[in-house]
Amino acid sequence: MSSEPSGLDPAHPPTAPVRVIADRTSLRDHIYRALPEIDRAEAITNRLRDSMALGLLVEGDRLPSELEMADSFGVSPTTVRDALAVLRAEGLVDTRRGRHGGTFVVSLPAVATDAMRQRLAALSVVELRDMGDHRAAVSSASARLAASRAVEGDLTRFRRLLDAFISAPDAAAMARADSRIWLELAVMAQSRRLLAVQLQLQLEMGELLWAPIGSPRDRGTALDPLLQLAEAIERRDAEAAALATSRRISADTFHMIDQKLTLALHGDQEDESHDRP
Amino acid sequence: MTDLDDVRSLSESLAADFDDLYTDLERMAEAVRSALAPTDPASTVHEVGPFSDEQLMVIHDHAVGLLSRRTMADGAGLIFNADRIAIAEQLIQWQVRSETGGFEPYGFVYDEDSTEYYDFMRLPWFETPRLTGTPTLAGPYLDYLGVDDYVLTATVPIVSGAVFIGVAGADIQVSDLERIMLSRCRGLRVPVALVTAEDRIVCSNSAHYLPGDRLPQESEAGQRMVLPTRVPTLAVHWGGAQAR
Repeated sequence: MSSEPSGLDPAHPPTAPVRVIADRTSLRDHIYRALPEIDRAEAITNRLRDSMALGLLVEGDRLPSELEMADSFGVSPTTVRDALAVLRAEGLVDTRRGRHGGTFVVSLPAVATDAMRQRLAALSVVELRDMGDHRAAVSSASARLAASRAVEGDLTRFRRLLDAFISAPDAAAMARADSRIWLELAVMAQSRRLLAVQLQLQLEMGELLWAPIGSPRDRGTALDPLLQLAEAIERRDAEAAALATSRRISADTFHMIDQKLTLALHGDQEDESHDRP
Repeated sequence: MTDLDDVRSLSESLAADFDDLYTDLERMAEAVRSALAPTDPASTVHEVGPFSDEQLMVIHDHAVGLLSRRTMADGAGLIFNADRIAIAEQLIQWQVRSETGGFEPYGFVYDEDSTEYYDFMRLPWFETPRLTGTPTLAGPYLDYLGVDDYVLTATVPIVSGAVFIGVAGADIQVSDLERIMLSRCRGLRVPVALVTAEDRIVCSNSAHYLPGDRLPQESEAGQRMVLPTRVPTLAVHWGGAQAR
């Protein structure tokens, strides 16, 4: 299909960080949608921080006004102010006064390994397995549709995202790049609904998968099925695309459960190496 | 200790927990049965209830007592036979752990026309004790009509004369059982999986065994050690070449 050189060629110069999301408006709606009652300020902090961790909000982005956010989150302006104060204290956002003022993203969060460890300890194996099943169902359906719907421009963008993943300098950047790949797959499937679900899944597990704790997820074994996925989409081979996707996600799920079990069974030992399936 | 010794001690310690749970369930069933049973053994109960507030409080105390003693259980109580209960609102007397560490009653929908109507008469945790007259451990299953969790349910029948009145039961969340099992797997050198009678995996100390999956059919030459419980419960599968 595509005649231009493959973006996966190692000789290809690294691209600038990619910010391609087909429908930013719909993603914005998800970032600022209403929250459940409990711990709303904390939930807002987490939602904004996770969105930054996934690269949905990047340095220089201006957040909506406090009133706008209060409205879309369904909370009082004070609650929003409390949430922003936490992010400001963490050095992630900065508020400037004046005509061109507002609250801006000034840096992206580093992976908080302690928080990740706690999150992994709080999740049970059966929950991680279920999360993996959900990802596999949503993502292989997206892969199938992408194989039959993607056009050349989509593939070029997809390959650029793969490059960003290959050249990501650290765990946080890998998590961002990987999440963008999965979101882009739903974009290629032309499905708002699949995109919305994929976004929720990535907010839930994106950082956790790449957290540099124990023996971290290996980039090479994660990349291999993605390359096959790109090729399958290019060949318009829906079955091969779905197969590569579920192979990748099974290995992710294995990794997360293995990390969880290592934490639960060996406590503080951090540098165990494990067999991969 | 050999691996076999390790596996045996794991399975004995889990069995002790299940035995304790069933002991409490039997005690609760007996308390209800004797409170309801007619003094004349020749007569049979045709209808149970309506229960007074005092009687409901006795049931409540048993359920809460069980939950405070058996940390494995997440909910406990009585479910009466819908064909025998005098007033439908008293059909289910169920207590669950609350967010704050206490206990609270769990509400159920009794309106037969509602889509959320809880019709349990055909579910294994109710039907098996009703048909066989013996205690059972059902699941793991998604209790989407009840407490909306992934649980195992332990039940014992309550029978008065020849009449099946209902069951005394307790829910065990798979996540909780997993936590308990893992806390006893530290130092274990072999991968083990806790499995049901149908070889469905409930939890494991290895990521090669996924909860909800069934063991591969040719069972990779593993060994099986049935938990030495009074009531048939689960088994430990171990020593296989690891699933997949």
